Amino acid sequence: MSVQTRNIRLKESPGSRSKTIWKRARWLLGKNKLAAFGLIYIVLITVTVLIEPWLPLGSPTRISLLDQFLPPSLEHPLGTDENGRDVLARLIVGGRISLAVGVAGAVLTVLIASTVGVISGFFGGLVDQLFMRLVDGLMSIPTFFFLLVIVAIWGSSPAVLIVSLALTRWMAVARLVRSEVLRFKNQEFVTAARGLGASNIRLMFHHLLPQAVPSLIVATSINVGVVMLIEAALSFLGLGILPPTPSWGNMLTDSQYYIWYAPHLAVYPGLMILFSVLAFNSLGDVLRDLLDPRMQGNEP
Amino acid sequence: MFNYLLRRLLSSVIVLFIVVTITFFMIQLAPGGLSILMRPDITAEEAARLARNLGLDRPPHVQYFNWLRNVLTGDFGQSLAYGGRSVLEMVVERLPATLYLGLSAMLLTLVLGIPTGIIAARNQNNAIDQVLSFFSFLGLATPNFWLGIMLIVLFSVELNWLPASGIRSSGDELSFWNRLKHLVMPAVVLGTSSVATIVRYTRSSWLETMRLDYVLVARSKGLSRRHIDYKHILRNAIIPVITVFGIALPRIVGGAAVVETLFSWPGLGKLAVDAALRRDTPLILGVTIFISAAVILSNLLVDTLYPVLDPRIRYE
Repeated sequence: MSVQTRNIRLKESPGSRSKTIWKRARWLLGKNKLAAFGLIYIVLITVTVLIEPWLPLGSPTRISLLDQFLPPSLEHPLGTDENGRDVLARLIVGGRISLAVGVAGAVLTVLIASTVGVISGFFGGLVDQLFMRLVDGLMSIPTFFFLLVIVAIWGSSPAVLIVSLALTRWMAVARLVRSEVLRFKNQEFVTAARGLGASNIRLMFHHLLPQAVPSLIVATSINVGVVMLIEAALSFLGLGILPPTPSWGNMLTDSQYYIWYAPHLAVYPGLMILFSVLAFNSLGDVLRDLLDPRMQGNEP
Repeated sequence: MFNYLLRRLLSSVIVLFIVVTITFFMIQLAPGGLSILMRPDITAEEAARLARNLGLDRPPHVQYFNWLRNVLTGDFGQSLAYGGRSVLEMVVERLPATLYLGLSAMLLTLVLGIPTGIIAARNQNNAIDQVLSFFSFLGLATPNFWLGIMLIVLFSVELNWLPASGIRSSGDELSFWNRLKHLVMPAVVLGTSSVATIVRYTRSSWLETMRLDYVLVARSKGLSRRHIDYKHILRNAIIPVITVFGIALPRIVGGAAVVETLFSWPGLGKLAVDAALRRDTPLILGVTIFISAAVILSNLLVDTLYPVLDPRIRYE
């Protein structure tokens, strides 16, 4: 870590070296209003989905045909859907699943990517060649179709979704980790550790991988958004989270047929997905500026 | 040059090989193994015979080479859900609709994305740039199916301007106008995220080129901004953007699954989703392998084009 903090230089904020990371975070968030809202949004949503069991809401799954398409009221703040279920409760419970899949998928993505990236960069040679060809290969094909294959064969439980999403998304991050490892593996601190008798495993995961942590944090944040988008698309198609469990994606599946009676049913879940992805993406941008100034302004 | 092409061709073959191998492992690891390629409603006796015919009683490496041979000869087996029709036949039948939609989205990406990126870069950091950057940010975060639903609500339900589904109306088959009206919404929805990506790429590529020495020289000669922008910067800034084709292609093809389903577009994407919904494993595997091969080949084509466009790039 020390190598990186020494190199940090923020053009826009003179004297930034004396500032703590929290001060710089606040300064960056002040500059990037979208990310500031994003952070607030993420905190709010996370807290809401966690305390949902104690909130005075209707059931998200109990069907009541007498209550179809009710307008917003005190009992149902956002009205009810085509099966008379409380829309707000469904949004919150659906959000919990969408967020959980997004976060778990992103974390698993980064775990796979770190392992492959570190091994590939550290050992080089044939191992590296093999992994990198695999990365090239997977990156050049439309992996969404592989997701469809996986779901067709193994069904679409949340666990299958998380694993398969991670398996189709780790490549870019692995490349990133590999390049970080290549940058550092011949530096003195690694040579010194090796001289002191550190094993390969220790060198890889204790000395080299931590160098990539800033990039990994950024990658995790952005991947949460992307994984949520893909999960939503799969659930929308009926190949992700399956009813009666609500998710933001599958709440939209039938909404287009009820557009005449209840246009709001199609609006809320979509907005929730959009805001979440925006929030995680913009937060990722701020984290990049905060933790990894080398990346600034590159990568579109 | 020749060597490069040979190497590039070789790596495409390797990628294709990886794809076929992955699909083989998927079948092997599936609950029930290769039997997922058989109809579930057959008797045990028939199943045993089929298993023998499919080579299920052979050792795994023999099965693997069989799979390889079948796939390479275009034999993806028979669909389970569509009355045992040949998978290859169904794929070929649906291909034109997907090509038509995908190429339209790609065209839209280039025609809309590159100029927008240039406008953003030329107005770096002022209001225009910020608005365009915000929209490209938004374009990347919007779920395409939701954008599609919203467009249907607006243009089909409320305004009744555009049809909400299908590739053309029946009985009106040759009318260009009718086809165009059907194409607009799917192509826009499919192209959105690629447009957003290419705007960002073009912008940063332009800004990078702008900082190069030769541009500084042109500027110090007193050439007009217009002249510098379009004679000096554009030609070099545009080249890296071509790599985006390779990035946009899998995105567009993958997006086709969702967009075609939403708009009932009779293409490969919808076929894949229908196959997945019906657990029609041979069909979905066939579509996936076919589409991957098509994308790999297109990428190879673009890479071949690269040194033609930029003479500085010489492959040994």
